[in-house]
Amino acid sequence: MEIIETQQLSKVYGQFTAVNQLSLKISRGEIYGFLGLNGAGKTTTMRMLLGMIKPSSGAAFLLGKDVHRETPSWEKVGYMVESTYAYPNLSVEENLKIFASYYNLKDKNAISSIISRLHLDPYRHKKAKQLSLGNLQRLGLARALMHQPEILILDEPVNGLDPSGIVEIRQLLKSLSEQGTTILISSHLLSEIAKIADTIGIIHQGNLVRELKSRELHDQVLRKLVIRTNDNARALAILAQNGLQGTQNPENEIEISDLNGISHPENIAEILVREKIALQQLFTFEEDLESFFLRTIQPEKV
Amino acid sequence: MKKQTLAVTSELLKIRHSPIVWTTFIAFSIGPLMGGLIIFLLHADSPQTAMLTKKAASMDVGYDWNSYLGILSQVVGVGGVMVFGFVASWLFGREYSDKTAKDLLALPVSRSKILNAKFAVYLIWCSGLIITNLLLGFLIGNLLGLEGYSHEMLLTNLKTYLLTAAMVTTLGTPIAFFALYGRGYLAPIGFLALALVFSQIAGAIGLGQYFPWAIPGLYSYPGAVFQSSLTFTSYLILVLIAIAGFTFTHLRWNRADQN
Repeated sequence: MEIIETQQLSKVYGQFTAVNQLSLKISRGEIYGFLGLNGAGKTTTMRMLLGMIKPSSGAAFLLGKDVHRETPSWEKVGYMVESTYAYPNLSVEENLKIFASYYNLKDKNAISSIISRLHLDPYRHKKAKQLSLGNLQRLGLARALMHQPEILILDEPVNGLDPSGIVEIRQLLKSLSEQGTTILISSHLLSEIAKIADTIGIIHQGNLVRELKSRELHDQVLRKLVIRTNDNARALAILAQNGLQGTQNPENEIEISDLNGISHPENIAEILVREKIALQQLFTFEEDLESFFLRTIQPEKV
Repeated sequence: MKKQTLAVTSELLKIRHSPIVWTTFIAFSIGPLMGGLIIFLLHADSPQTAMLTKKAASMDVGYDWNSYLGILSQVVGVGGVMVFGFVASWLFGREYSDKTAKDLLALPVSRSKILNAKFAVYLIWCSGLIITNLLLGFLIGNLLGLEGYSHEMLLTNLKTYLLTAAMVTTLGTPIAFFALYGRGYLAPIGFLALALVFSQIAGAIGLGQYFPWAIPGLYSYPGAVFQSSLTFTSYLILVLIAIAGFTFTHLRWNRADQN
């Protein structure tokens, strides 16, 4: 049984399609990274999964239950949708007490434990309205995690956190996943998602345009050898004679996408030097993750 | 039932440290204080208050418990509409203004129970206001040494006071609906202002007995002057408005998309 699943999930507002027939399956203990630009449909999908928005068509399931037709076991779900807000006049501890009451937490140490885990001890008695954005985000995470849910749905959870906080939360989520928690996490930063997710789903204009395993990501990014010589035309011909097809780009550089060539640039250098072609530049270009993301969602612009 | 209790506990925790709670108690206590001051001034034997004394005679406000408790009922009937309306606006609108509403939608406690808990806190809050004003009234009346105390008079006035308070309290349900519909305080407060304006207009053109927000004021008017104008239909309108407010608040909270 999939822990989180959507089947042809759609949400249409008048003429605008926020989410279009989105299907995804997330298994127990998996971290699924939901990636997309602002307004791509990530939050709307999460809200539909949490029963906050009714889908125009399709279905959303949590632990096998149709969220909009049955009552899911919400005590097994922790979530944080969009930015964190809290009751401004209440302290961190009091804010958590409210939710401890909703979750009927019997463990008296549950609040202290989650406060410590998210390093909120110095702010325990501080009012929420006095917290920095990063600490407010920690409070939101504490609220989502305090009842040790089986499912975590987190919308941009590292927003506002400093670099050490980001690393800390990443490690926390990874350890939860290792213990069997299923996590759906959204972000607009591929580099961040790539570090934490097992599977990445790229959503654009409401459509799931690409789904891939994080370990496949390395193979998906563009890699090429970029060469500049004193005689590109002759260099291209010589490389072709050696079984390496290249093209000349507008910057007057030769680009080679052949895997053999990319893996052994020293062989290319040797061939060209042997033919008395002066090398002015030779390097391996690897597309960064952001370019890969942009190329995936807007291939025509890249 | 346990989950309902948990929801009420959570709602009570939410109003801790909220300055708005004490603000409403202070605002509502102005009524008995002003009432006491007016009675005191109206009957003070001073040349500066001679005009007020004349006015007192025309208003039939005596230096007695009956007059003062009548003023207290009027305070609930008119001032209560405003203060209780404000309480409902805040209780139901704050989750949107504080942007915490989304955190209440996928919890082990159902949405209906959370809403019922809010209504329960609204009742507790209003009851607190009703009781404290009454106690404050007794204190002020005693300090003023008001005359004409009798059990019969007390029971008659208590009945008017409590029934007026109950009527005003029921008018909180449509306010709750507008708080959810407008996602914040502004819509319900705007609605409340309009309701107060229209209750004046309805009263002026002689249709106050059919306008829910004018009915408690008419009922509580000293000397039961307008009580006879209130018919079964008047009370039925009040009940129907309260039920409609409660029902639509639930429908809105449970069924509308929470973007």
